[in-house]
Amino acid sequence: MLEQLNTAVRDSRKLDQRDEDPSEPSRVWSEEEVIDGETHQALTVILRTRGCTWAIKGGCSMCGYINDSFVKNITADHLVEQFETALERFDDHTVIKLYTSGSFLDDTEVHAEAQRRILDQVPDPVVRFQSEAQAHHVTEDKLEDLRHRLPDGCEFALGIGMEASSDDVLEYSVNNEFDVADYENAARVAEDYDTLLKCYVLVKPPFLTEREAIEEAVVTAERITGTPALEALSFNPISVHKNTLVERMWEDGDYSPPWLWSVAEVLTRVDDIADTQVHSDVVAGGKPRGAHNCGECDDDVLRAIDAYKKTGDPAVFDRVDCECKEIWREQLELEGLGLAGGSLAERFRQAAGDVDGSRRAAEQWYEG
Amino acid sequence: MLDVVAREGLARAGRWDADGEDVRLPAVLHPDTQRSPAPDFAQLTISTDPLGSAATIRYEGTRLTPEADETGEGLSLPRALIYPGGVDESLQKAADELNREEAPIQIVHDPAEVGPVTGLLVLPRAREVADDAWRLAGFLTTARRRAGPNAVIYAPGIGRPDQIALAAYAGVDVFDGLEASLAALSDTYSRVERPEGSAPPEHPACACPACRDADREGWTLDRLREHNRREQRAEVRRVRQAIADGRLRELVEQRVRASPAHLATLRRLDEDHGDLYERYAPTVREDELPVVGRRSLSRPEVTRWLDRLETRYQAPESARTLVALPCSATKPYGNSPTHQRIRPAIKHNARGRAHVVTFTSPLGAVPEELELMYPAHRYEVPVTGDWNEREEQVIRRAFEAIWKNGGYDQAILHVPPDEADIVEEALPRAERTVEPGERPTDDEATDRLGEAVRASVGDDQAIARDDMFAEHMDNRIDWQFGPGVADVLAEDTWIRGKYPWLRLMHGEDQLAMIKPERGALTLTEPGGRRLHEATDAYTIEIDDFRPKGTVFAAGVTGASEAIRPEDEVVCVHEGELRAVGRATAPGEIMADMDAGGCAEVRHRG
Repeated sequence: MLEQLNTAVRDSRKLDQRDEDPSEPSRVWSEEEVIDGETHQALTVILRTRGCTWAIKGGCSMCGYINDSFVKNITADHLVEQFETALERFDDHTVIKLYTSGSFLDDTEVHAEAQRRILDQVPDPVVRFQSEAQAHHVTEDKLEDLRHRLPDGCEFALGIGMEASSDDVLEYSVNNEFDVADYENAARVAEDYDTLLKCYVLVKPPFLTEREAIEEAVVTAERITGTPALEALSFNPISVHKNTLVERMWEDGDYSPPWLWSVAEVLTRVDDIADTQVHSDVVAGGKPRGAHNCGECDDDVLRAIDAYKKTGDPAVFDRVDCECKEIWREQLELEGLGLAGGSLAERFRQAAGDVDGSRRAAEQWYEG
Repeated sequence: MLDVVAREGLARAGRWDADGEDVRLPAVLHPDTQRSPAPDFAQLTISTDPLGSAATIRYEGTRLTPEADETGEGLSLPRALIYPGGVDESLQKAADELNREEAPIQIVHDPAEVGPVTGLLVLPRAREVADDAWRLAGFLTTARRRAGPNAVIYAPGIGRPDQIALAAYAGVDVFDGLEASLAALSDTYSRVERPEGSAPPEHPACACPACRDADREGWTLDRLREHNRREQRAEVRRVRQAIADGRLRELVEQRVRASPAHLATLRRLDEDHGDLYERYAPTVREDELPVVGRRSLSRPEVTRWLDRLETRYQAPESARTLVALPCSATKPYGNSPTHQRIRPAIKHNARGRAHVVTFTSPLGAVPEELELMYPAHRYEVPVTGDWNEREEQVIRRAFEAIWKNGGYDQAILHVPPDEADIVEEALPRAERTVEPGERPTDDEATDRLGEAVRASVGDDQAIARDDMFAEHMDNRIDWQFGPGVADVLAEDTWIRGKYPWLRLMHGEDQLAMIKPERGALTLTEPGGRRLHEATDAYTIEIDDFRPKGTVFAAGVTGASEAIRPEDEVVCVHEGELRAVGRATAPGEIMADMDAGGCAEVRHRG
């Protein structure tokens, strides 16, 4: 860990403990989920926890999920109660997705007792229970304790935010708490306990040029693709979360979210090397805080990314084009040669007619 | 290896051997890529895939680039960690710690962390401070001071034509060619006189090939990029020429008018770092020095004049009456028709007891025996008789210093009454000899001056012409070499020749002479011997050899920090005089220099 980076990340947060109803989940909603070509109804629950343990110490440079948590005096009973409240909306669902602000398997964030009682209550018709964890929390003891509690035939899937794979990127950019070796351990344990892993990979961590970001995502896919228990590689272009280091940099013009062209490039290249599902969920796509292009072609590329998720055919990306792609190509070649990190990306953005700065003032999507 | 052939301010012109290729400094570093190849005229490129004939810095990515092949051949940029400045400076400091290793090219965020560098120093924060007047001056000056004379400094992000002269003056050797491409991508036409550039003009005034084509056939991205590169190149060449001519400061003063930020940066350089720039400024120049704006008032040669009046100057011992005369356009003043009409009235009545001091700006005051010294002997100022407050302040301080360091009984102000108002309070016993409405050259006024001079010297014993000349010579010596040196250098001497072609003689041995075009004294070998006896302040310590022509840095083991470029110096080995000549670099960097000349010698000991 680079202490100065961790401090900068921590200083960017506004960690005020909140006085919210500890028995109410943060959010609950229903959505459709396609698994193996079959459409399922998924109940998605975001638990209010005391907050991601790692984020409270500093955390990852781009992650602002702690903004939704960090509630005072949460007990195991509260967490179970939140899940029960969510279950009141359980209807014809066959998938449950349960997220915290950090790691569901972290006993500090979610009491071990609450983890057990929640899994004990997963209703029978559910064929898939999906959550998230940090790699070093996926241990033999933990899965021995939890896995059998799910109904028979229910898949257990965990998303792990590996984010990147180069040690230097993890240490000097993301400030991740674990490394690839931890992930590989988690993968072995997951395989032994019939658990599926979804590996999250960032597109464009801070301080990387656009080209470095693409390379890092591809290299990470290469390293992860052969690991056991892997169900999917999910590429997450950074969206600028409130109260994060990335937000501070973005406000200063030192960080630009990736181009959608970069997302398409990563998916195209990874499609070639990965032997697993590959997809990308673009948060705030086309918006100043999310991956975006010049404004003219954003919708087309976003549609192509969606189409790729459904068809798995990277040829969808060949069918979109725009003048701004030239500027993006120039940036890939030139940005690194400028030797000055952040602010150069903004210059290319401006050349593409995308004046982020002025759009920022008007942008409101994240306010809720 | 770096061979500096001319320097001004912190700027240097010369050649840098970049891995076997000769690069003329200041230079532009051009990114060289498949899509935008470096221009034909590029001498220095940065590329992931070196192709061309220019010197190339190989770019293999940063620490955050995965799995790049590190070849380490030629000039490879180390895979450093580069953090932008918007975040905490502590992060950049951490990066500097991590990047600190022996590499042929150094990348340092914080100028305060820069150590002595031989080879290329990259300042990745330059982009972020490029237009920040509060920080740029200190940033660049500190980097240069700490990096030392052997560093070739590259400032990524500084490369707009309007920035180049100023940044070169503050020590940047290599400018960013990417700026020309970035401007073109944003449809911006670079103009040295407009920092923001403009839309590409339909009928450009520029005569470069791209503009000629565009005039006939319209603009394309390639044409725009080419024009921008040529505009940048033209300015770099102009800067190179200006350094060689010793006229960079003039170019900088012109360029800073394009932007308040540039003007503010120059002000910071002058005011916060003036001492450093003074140590680098020459003490002799054969050209005139034009004073064309308020910034000229703060150039190092000008501030040095006032400083030396206060610290090195003592009025001639026998002078009883200080006579202030008005400034004239002709320099030296002795040649000015105005002074030639006025001075006889003094000379015929003073019996050697009066001392003429010219009232002027920006130097404040010029005592008559120093009229030949640079920059008094040749500076051009718009003489209008209207002085601003700052000029008035300088004039007052100058007269005050002269009065205090002299044994005068009285002052006579033979200047227009409004000018007399300015200095009167600095001169306790002052009499005015120009009435309102009169010009100092009017007969009534000069008659009155003659009367006043005669009255003021009263019954004082007359001073012989030769004695007065000797006192003046002593003053020139002390001005040039520091107080007390005349006691040794001019001991038992006489003066031969007609002013201004004066020679300082000991018996029939010439010790020194004044060359009017240089103004300062030029020493002979016996003169150098006496200087060495008198002081170490103008001594360069050399290895055991007999220098001839240029004394190169390789042979220099130490040098006095008092030495300024163009000063007369002696080269000494273990106390033994080996040569006499003139310095071509500031003394404070001579011992650190790996290459390049430190002095040109005439006489061998």
